[in-house]
Amino acid sequence: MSDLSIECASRFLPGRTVDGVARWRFDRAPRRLDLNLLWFTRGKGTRDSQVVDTLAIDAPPAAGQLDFSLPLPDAPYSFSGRLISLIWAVELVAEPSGEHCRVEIAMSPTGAEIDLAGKAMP
Amino acid sequence: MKARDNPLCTDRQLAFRYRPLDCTWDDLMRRLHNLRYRCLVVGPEGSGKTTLLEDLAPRLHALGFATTFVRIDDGLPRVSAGPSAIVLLDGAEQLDRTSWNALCEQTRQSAGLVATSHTAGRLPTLIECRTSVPLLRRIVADLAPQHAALLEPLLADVYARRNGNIRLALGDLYDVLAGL
Repeated sequence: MSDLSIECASRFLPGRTVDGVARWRFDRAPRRLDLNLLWFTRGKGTRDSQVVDTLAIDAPPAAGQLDFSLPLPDAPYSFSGRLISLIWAVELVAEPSGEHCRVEIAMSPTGAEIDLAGKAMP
Repeated sequence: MKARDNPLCTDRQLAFRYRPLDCTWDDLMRRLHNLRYRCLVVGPEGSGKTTLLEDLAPRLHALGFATTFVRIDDGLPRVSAGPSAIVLLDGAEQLDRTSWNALCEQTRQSAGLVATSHTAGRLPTLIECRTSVPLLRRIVADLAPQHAALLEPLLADVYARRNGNIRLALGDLYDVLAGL
């Protein structure tokens, strides 16, 4: 039985910092925890993703928490069309079990996901 | 509908794992053992061969085998697998006779070779992957239960138009939901 969680704000401007707290509790301590800042695509066709920053915790205790600050780059912006969405997220991954939790965030000049799905299709 | 909300998005399609139609996984693993782990998974494109091959890996690990996954994208890579490893090869139909023979030679000392192929013949057939409209219906019901009634009238037509390729059929149905 494990419990992983991430607390942070959900909307960000490009180049700002994602501040938050990651918490975990395992029956047995994992070998490593990775806190990743990443983006990925969801929709039709080939998936794409990129981890832009990682905080690695080697030999963490079975239960603990980590205050983190992860700087966002200037791009790409969060958006959603009908064919593809680009989604930013912070995730906590335990190795070697692969247990994880993920919190989706949005990054754009308005701080909100850019909505392309409502636009008329060409 | 936004792509992130489309229940037929690629992520969810890939999360749908292989389910044998006319047998159980136990039957399949028994047959695999009887074939000494050298056999083919046969079927047309989009029938679940690669998914089945991927799903074999953890079951083989549970039996104590290592696995080496080889995907034929651009010629045959050099395959190196130890005596306790089973080579899982995706796309044997892309190999000509010479390359196939080279692969068989490279894997002679390994614990097995399970390959997907569009056609039978190069090794005994473990299973023939087939698709059907009921299978497409079951997948849609699992992935998009809230839209199953909307998509139901389209299933037979999409399946026929895509010649039974489930992956392409789901892509067409994705487009339908994207237009909502």
